Amino acid sequence: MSKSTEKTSPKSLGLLVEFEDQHQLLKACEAVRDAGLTKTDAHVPFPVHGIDEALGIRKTMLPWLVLAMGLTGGISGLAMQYYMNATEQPGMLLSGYPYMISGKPTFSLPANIPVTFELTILLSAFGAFFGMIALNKLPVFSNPLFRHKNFARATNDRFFLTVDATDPKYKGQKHREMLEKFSPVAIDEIEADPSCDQIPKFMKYVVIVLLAALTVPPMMVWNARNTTSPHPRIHPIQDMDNQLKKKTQTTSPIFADGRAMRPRVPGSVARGEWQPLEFLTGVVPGGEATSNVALLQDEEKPAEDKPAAEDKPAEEKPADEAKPAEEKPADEKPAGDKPAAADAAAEEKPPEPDWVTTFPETLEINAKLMERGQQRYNIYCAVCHGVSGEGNGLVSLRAFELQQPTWVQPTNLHDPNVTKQPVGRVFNTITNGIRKMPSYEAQITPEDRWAIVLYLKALQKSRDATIQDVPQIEADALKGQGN
Amino acid sequence: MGHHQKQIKVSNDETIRLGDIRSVLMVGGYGAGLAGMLVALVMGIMAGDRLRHFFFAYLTNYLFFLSIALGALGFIALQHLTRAGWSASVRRITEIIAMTLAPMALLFLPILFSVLSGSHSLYEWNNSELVATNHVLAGKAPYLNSTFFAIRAVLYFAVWIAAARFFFAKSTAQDESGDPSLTLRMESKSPLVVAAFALTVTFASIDWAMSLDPMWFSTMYGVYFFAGAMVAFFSFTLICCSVLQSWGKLTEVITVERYHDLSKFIWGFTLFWGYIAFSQYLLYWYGNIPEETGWYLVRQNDAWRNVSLLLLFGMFIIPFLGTMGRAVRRNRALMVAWAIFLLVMHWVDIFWLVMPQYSPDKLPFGPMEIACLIGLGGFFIGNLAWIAAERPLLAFRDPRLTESLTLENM
Repeated sequence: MSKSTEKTSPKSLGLLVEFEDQHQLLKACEAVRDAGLTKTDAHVPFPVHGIDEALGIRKTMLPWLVLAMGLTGGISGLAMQYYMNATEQPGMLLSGYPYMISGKPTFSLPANIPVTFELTILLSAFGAFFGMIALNKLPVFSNPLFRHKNFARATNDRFFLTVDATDPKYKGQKHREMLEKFSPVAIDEIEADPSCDQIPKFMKYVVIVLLAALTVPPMMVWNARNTTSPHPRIHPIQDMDNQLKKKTQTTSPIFADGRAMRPRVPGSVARGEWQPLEFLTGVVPGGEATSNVALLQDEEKPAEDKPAAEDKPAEEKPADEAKPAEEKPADEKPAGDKPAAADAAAEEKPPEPDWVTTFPETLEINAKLMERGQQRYNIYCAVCHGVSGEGNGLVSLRAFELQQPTWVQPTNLHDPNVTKQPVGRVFNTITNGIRKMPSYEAQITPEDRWAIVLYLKALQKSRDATIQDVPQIEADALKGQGN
Repeated sequence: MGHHQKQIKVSNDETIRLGDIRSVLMVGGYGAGLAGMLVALVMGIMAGDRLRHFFFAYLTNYLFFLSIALGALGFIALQHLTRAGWSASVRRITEIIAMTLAPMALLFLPILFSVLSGSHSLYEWNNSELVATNHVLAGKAPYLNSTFFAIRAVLYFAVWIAAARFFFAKSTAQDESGDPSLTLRMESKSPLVVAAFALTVTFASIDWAMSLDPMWFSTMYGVYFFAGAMVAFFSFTLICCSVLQSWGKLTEVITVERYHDLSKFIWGFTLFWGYIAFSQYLLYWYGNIPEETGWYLVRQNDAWRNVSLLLLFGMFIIPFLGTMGRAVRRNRALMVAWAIFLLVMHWVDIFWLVMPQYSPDKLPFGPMEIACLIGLGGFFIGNLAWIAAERPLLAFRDPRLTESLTLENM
């Protein structure tokens, strides 16, 4: 403090020229501009047209800054949404989380426009606001002009022109004389602040205390992260986190089954999911005993009580007991050549449903469906029936290895009884199960079930196919291999 | 240069009047109007679809020119409401445009009579057999019926014509007296006009365009129509100014600053139109509810999809970027080109609103549309010249004229 007490003459920072009206000011500005000075400024109580030009102020680059910021906002908004919603590279750092909303594509432009638009506006506004502040070199806490006794009138009725002494073309006396010609009220030197520019000593301690206080919040956060608390976490913004609603996979006391998720009302069909009854059941509607319920009874009862009436050996029953009867139902309708002497057991049981004999028309039979069928077969069927369909799947082999007493060998799908079955019947077996085999209705969609039937039919045919069944090109290739 | 105290002499002479050009405009305009309408009518009768195509083409072009006139009325009311000074030098032109609302009422009569006579070629809700079997239309019948439709139409025109006449009469009276209190009168009535304008334009657009598909509804429709109307109005005014100047009229008073101001509005309302159009679209797209998306579905499929895309780019993205720059806005020739482009796009916009209802699967653009455009356009030009009469094209005694003439954009 002792140093600053010695008084020196204040340093001149430039000229402050005071005018009574704007026209004098504008003329003076033009003169200063023409003299080649650039570090000049005018201070006026209201916007004066043409002053930018008179002072030779360059056009502001602010619009370009705003445009650039706006484009940045728009592009980053789009990119952010694309990254978050539409990129999927498992395990990679640069991967978003594709989350389907309202059945829209993960990257759908209309949904992304609001965010893009808002970010464009936000960054444009930031560009304009902070760009203006930066271009004006703000904030400035103090300006030597404020010490001038008359300068306050710049907001009222006086017009000022300042010429900075740091301008390389500035020559104090010469310019002062030049400006005298415009009959200003006064021309004053702007003086540098003569007061001490040292920070008071006690401020050092204030800053230290403040810095110390600043470490408290992070320490509290660190503490909170490393201890447990019986209190629920602070939830300042509720959004819609706590609602009177049930979420998926939760319980509810309202319903008898205790589930919050409601199953589909029996008999209802969702919009767009309607399929012909043949497609869903494998049975031609309108035939004898065609309802799905009747089918179930038909299959279940004999499976438990009257295995002899069925076409396949039932569990825990000797195979030979079932065998005599098994051929009849299989041949009954599709083959059309009923055995003349239908035996008593077959007479007793309700008539066979009217099985669908060809694939439903709504199904597109192609190689893709065949591949799908093969894939589904290998997932659901091959474990028991074996990949080749001979009833020697891995589960079955293991069961025999362990000598499980209740295990019955799965049906050999190449057995003539199965190969003769119409497609509707095979479909029905997959849908509702048979004997030991459970129903696969819940796991496999109707279309996939038909795909499996398609593959199975191909698998069966492959067993007794001749060279005539093979396309010529393939046959030639096979011959070539043989040679 | 503000400090040179610009002195602009406004002389009350031929340079602010149409003069000889007026008779040329009237003969040409009304001649083209009659010829176009006659050709369209003959084609409509020949078509054998009970004038259905004719009425749709007529309505498209009618709404196009009506929207320009409505934009002018809204603009005048807004200028008085905000006590704007910048627009004083172009306001008389807009007052003349707004006055065309009176002859526009006559041109609405064909549509009104067809509805009153029970025809449902335009509006399906006028088909009593359909309404009887359709729950939705039956529910809307208390509003959408021919009698109430006519009552509302009369009401809209009464409001518009009264407002346009009020501003026009007061403004021309000021030419004689130079009484600044007339300006104050207009300012005091402008809030009422703005409120009435907002309501009538919204309901009129719902009645005449939205109800073409009576099953569909949008709460944004009135604003959408207004936004498009303002783009068209500012573009048309800018073209008017340029054309008048090329004829040697108003050469001193309409400066590059006015073109700059009008262009700023064109740009702003182009953005506004895009914003409104998207706001309307997004909710329907997201909700994806059948009764709401049906209207867009027609416009998103087949030939109409390209028109929709044309609108997106032509009415919003391209002009938005194109008229953004200050240099463009201060370039008269360039801005006239943009204004013509936007007028065409506004026509496409109205075409897109109306025509899919007539022809959902293919573009019906052809001689019928062109004949109606020439017909109604001819009438519109003729009306402008007729209203302008020998009156000044500049409110030369407006108390704010000096401000308008000397105002510069910073």
